[in-house]
Amino acid sequence: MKKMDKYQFVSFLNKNKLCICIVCAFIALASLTTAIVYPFTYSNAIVADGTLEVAAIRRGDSGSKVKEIQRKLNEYGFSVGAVDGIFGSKTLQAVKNFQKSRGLVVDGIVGNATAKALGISLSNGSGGNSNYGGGDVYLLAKTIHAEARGEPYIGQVAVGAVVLNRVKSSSFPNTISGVVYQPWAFTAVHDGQINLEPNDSAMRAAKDAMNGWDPTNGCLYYFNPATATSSWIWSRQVKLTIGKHKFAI
Amino acid sequence: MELTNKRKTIIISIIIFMLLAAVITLSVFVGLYAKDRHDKDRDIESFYQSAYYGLVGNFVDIENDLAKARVITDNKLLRQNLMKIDVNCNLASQNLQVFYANNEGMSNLMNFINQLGDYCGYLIKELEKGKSLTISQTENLNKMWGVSKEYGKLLNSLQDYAKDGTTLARLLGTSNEQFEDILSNIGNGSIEYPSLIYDGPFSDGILNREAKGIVGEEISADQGKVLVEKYLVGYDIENIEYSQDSVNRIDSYLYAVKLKGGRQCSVQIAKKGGLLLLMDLFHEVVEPSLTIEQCQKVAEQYCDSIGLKNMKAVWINNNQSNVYINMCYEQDGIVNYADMVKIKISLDTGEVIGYEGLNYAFNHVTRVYDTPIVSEEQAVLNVSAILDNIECRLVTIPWNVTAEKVAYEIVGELDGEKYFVYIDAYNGDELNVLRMIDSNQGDLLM
Repeated sequence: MKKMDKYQFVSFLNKNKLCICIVCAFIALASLTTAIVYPFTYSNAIVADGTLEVAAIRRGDSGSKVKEIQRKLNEYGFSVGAVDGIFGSKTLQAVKNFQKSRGLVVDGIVGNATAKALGISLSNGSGGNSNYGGGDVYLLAKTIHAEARGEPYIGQVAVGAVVLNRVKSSSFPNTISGVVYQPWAFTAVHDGQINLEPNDSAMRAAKDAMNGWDPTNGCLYYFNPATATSSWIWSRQVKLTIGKHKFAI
Repeated sequence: MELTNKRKTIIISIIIFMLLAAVITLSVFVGLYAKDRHDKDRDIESFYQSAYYGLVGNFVDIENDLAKARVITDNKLLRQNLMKIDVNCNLASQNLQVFYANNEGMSNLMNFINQLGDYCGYLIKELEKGKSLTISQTENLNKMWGVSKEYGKLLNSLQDYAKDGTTLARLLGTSNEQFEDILSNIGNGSIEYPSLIYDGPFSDGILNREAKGIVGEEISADQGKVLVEKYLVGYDIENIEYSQDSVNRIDSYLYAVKLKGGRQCSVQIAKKGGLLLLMDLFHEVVEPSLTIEQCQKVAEQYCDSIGLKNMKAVWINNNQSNVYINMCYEQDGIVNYADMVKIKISLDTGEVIGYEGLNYAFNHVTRVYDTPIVSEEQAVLNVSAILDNIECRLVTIPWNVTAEKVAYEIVGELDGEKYFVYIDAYNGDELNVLRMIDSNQGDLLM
């Protein structure tokens, strides 16, 4: 490579000053963006992680607490239609609109901050006990949504049933969270898709599975033959196929 | 020319300044990011170290207590010793659940821990009845002691792999070749322990459980199709497609049913006799309008229409869009909880949109009951001092998965909350207490 003397270097800079200015400006802008975005990276990750919101009310929930939220939303002018106690798509949209109007995190989940802004309490009372039941169903729904969205409904119930069969099996952890978060047990946990908000179908499938629906009749594994990379999973005995998933013991 | 040189110098200075500023800014944030990443890695490593050393400690205690169990002769001391093993097994299971999961060896290790804990729990109950351990139970404990020693050695050897720069987090939390090699020793059966047949949820006997409610001749897939039509009477069926057969705990045929309006329904029936095992469809409830009483009537009619007689609604879970109704077989005025089917009804159309009948298939038989020794008055005597508004009836409840007990079910209230108390109808023992919870998902029994 030919060595450049001082004058040639200055001449080079002079000729390409526009390009150099653009590059420098880009680097400076990138640095500035990093400086602004960096401090928020960690806090946003926590907000996006629904697992921290186990005591919250969200889509798919129902009951007297949901009715209370719906009544308040209607009072504040964010129409949910009929106060039916079902946290469906209309209620979800109304919650999001309310959160936006109050400068809250717009996630459609009624956690402590949103509840406070609505003037209600999520703690135990005569109208319902949000500490029980909701967390497990929600985590199961998140797993189903992340692992089996796009699959037939019965395939989604089957994925939920596999998680619950593992909880009952001696070869796996004894809680839903233990099973779901076992390292590499579910791809969706590893790639972060577990944190997506579950849709109606996943919520209903989770409730069916929790109520005992098990289309797999006791299967402990499932895999997609088109994408499975583990050779070990192929050694399992396949019992049935639903959609793209093979269910095995 | 002079001016041009000056301009050049200014431009160069600005460029150098901007570059320097950019490099410094980037360095600061790359440094911060690296520190943050390093802190997180250290936290994760600490987490894995805590789980690993906790597990090693649990195995030391388990091995030690199993060794002592071979020598202890006193009933009370043996119970205390077995309780310690049970507690350590629970702790070990908690520690193990953070390890890499997709491995047969890991699943065997988890199985050993859970079964050993469960087995100890079973033996404690036997000892509480005043019994002594049988020869085969003592032999089982002896074999489990040998296995725990082997597992202990294996777990200790993992420390050596973590010394040459490999962190425990990398070794235990991800798919790792060295770890796979160690675990393959467990997976290839070099460590074996006896099958544990006992009354408990993790008993090996459960795997070969007989489906008592499955009777009759084996039917063909085409005959099954006709039955599916019967099970879906009242639905606008467009097409029934045989999907596959499943050779499982109960061999079954699966059908995909297309309903008019584009809805898809799945139906599963037993190959032997054609009993309905499962039906499910996704239905979005728009305007819930039905009452619980109306839904209950639908459930009773549905059971009747598919040939299940004497079914009684025992539990209703209303989540405001669907209602789940548990129906149980009633014989001679006694409700049998093991013979349960679950029916899901949509609160807007009143359709049956789901059916689950595996428990019924596994447990349904015609029973012969002995006359209860404990009277209803005796059963409610203690409970009535605590609960108000008491109601009582005779039921059979599942006991340790494969057995059942005849009991008085006493329902009453305390501080506005509902409780269910179960008293053994033959010896008056209090078998279980359940509390009704008003949750986001409707009423739950816990």
